[in-house]
Amino acid sequence: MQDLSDAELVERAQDGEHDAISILYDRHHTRIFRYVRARIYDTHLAQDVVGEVFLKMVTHLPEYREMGLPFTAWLYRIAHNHVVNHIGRKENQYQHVPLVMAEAVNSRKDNPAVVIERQLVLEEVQKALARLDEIQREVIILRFLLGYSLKEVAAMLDKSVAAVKSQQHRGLLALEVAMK
Amino acid sequence: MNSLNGRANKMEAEDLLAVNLTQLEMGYPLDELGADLPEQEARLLHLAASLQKTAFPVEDDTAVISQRAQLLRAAESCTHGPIP
Repeated sequence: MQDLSDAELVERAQDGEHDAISILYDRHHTRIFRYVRARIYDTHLAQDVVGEVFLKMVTHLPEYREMGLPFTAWLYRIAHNHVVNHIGRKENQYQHVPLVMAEAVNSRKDNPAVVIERQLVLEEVQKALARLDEIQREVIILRFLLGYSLKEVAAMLDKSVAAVKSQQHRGLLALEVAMK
Repeated sequence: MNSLNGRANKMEAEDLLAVNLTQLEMGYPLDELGADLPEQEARLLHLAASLQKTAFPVEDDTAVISQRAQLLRAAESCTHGPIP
């Protein structure tokens, strides 16, 4: 079943094959976590939001029909809505930047110095991203932090490829200024 | 006329950057790509390459396992059967 496409797995899941849900989760949870974590600064909180996103996926999967919206784009939209709702509930999210990612140090036994350096790099990007407008921020996250193609991002954001191309150029310019 | 030229230049710059980003994603060396670009697009290409290398915190394995189990329980409890 591992070789099946997302669309095929969705069909299997809709037919009641729960293994397909497990594979969809395994295939997508890291990218969804990264997307959420790029917007929410707390790793535990981000992980909780990821859980909510996938629960919503399971609940709504029976109603999902591809019809031009690929599964990844559909899943992204669920994640985006959850993140926006979450940030709306916690307006001070962008002011809250933890300096040490204690849970990663504890669970992974990494060298703490390495973990802190890694966290600071992400923080720098996040702080700069917070200064971009919403659409540019989404394009930068999806294109460069998550590695989706122009076409995939266009489907996720319901924009044309040309519009995403333009926003990635503007977004990078704005980010360059924000990072100075 | 100047405004039209400006718009054409902007579209050219966006296309040029997009083409080079695609090549970067295909594994072309960054330095080679950047060498042929105007200064601004070369800078943006390097910025994009740095963003691609941004390290993220890792997910907690225990949480991942428990989340997967929770999903399967949820799927069991809301099995709708085949969609007609």
